[in-house]
This record gives sequence, structure tokens and C-alpha cells, in this order.
Amino acid sequence: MRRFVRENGLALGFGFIFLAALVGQAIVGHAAFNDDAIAHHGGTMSLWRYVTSSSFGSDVMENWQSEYLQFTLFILGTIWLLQRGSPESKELDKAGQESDEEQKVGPHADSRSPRWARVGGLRTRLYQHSLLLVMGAIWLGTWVAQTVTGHVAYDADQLSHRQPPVSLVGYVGTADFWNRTLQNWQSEFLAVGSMAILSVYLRARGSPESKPVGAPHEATGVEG
Amino acid sequence: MRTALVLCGLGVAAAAGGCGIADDRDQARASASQFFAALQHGDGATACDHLSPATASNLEQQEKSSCPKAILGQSLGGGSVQRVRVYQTDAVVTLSDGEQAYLDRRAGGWKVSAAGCKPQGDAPADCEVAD
Repeated sequence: MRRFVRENGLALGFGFIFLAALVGQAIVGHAAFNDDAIAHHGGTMSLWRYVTSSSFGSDVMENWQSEYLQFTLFILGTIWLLQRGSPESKELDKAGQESDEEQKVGPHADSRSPRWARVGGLRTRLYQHSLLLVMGAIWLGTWVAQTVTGHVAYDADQLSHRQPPVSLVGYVGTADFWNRTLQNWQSEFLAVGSMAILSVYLRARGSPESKPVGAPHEATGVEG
Repeated sequence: MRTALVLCGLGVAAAAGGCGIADDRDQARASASQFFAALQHGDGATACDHLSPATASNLEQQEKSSCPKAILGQSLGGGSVQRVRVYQTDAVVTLSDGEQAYLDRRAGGWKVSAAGCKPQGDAPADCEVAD
């Protein structure tokens, strides 16, 4: 048990703080929703109704989709885009998908390689992009969920102001939808870009996201 | 059915407004229908039971009269409820004469927050009775 926890600390640690933050968001989001409803003489909700409502759903989904987009683009971008001196970048002569030999694909796979990396054909073609495919699918799924839940929440707000509801397609054309989307995207892109640059010159001793403390600034593709 | 329940349990359909929305629609329709039926029968007390507290209070202040008396003096349209649209705690019903009424879901059920409303394009509807 202790060994399992030690070997899965990253997933368990972040899983725990994710759940704690989500519960916290539900509690304060519920309070904020009801405060706003009371101020507008509107109807309030129980905590359970709130956490199953589109208001909560859209607030959660708009953040999820931007996080998955960030990592999907980061994985995709780092195949071709380089950053001299950054541990987030590959070495400067390795841009692109690299050779089968370097990637241990098909006949170059070794005995410990995953089966789908060894077998060739469609399974290997899928497997070599599986991380991108799954992360991209989660991004698209959560963006669709943001759209559907955001539409319901938007129309509820329209009705509370006695304005006409809009269709789902109409909602995608509103400033509200793109404001919710782009305010999340810009912060994710900034975080990735600044991490790539800051990690050239700054160090986090012991973190694989950083170069070793004594590594030169120009060393690229080196992790600590 | 089982699939729908599982989806609701996961909060997926619920988040999309899919769970319980038919119940809400039925209840909002029933409340609006009873409100307008009471008006047609000259039963101001029952009509006021279906008004939201803020709307009833606003009406009493405007008309300087009790709600049951004041509500019967309003020129509210009638006809049957033709269409109900529900979004979370808000609903709008469209009557056969084209007028609209707005409802809020409260602890005591769906209550009419505005009635005798005429749509004004994208601007807020112009309502005879409102909070």
C-alpha cells in the first residue's frame, strides 16, 4: 500500500487537490448563484440542484476544456517547435516526428515496448498518436459540454432579464460564449509560453520540469 | 431508461438540463394555467398565490391595494398556455393570444414573476405586472 502511494504520488496528490478544489468551487459557486438570484428576486437552488445545473456545469467545463486544449497544443507544438535552452523543448536538431528507430516503433521496438508499438499497421499508427488523440478528444468533448451547459445558463439569465432565449447555434455566436472561451485560452497559452522561457534561466532543484541547477542556460532538452 | 438514469446519475444530462426538465415544464405550465384560470374566474386570492412574493409586493405598492384586489384590475391577456420553455430556475410561457408570462422556481414551486408581457425584440419584454 505504502509502495503504491509512493509510486503514484503525482496522480494521487493531484487527484486529491482536484476533488478538494471542485468541492470548494461547488460550495462557493452555489452561494454566489443564490446571492445573485436573491438580488434579482429570482429563484434559488439547493446545493444538489446547483451541482447538477448548467450554471455549475458550464463553469467547470470552460476550465476543463481550456486545460485539455493547453496540453493538447503543448504536446502537438513540441513535436515541431523548439526553444533554445528550455527543458520543455527537444534538442534543436530533433524537430519533427523522428525516425522509427529513435521512437522504437515496429522492428525497432524492444521486448518491453508496448504491444501496439511492435505490431505495426493501424494499431501502431493509432498508438503513436494516442496521447494526442485522447487529450484532443477530451478537449473537444468538454468544449461541446461547455457549449451545451453554457447555452442553458445563458438562456436562464436572458429570462431572468425578460429577454428572449437564443438557440444553441445562436449561443455559439454570442459574445458570452467567446468571452468565456477566450478568457481561459489566453491564460493557458501565457502559462505555457512563460514556462518555456522562464525554465531557460530559472531552476527548480529536483524537478524534472527544470534543468539541473548547474546546467548552462543554452543547454536544450535537458531535464533535471 | 436505465441508460438515462445512469447519465443523470453521472450529472452529464443533468448538467445539460436534461434531468427533471420535463417535470419542471409540467409544473411551470400548471402554475401558469392555474394563475390565468383564477383571473378568468375573478379569483384574485388564488391568482396571488401563484405570484412570486416580490411581484405581489410590487403590485400592492403600485396599486395601493391588496394583491387579490389589485391583480383583478390589471389588463392581463388570457387564453391557454401554448408553449413553455424552462432554463434552470426560470421559465417563460407563451399564451394563445401571444402574450408571455415569466416564472421563477422557488421553494413553494413555480411562481409567476411577470405577466402580460409583450416581447420587444432583443430588449426586455414590456410587462403589465412585474417584480
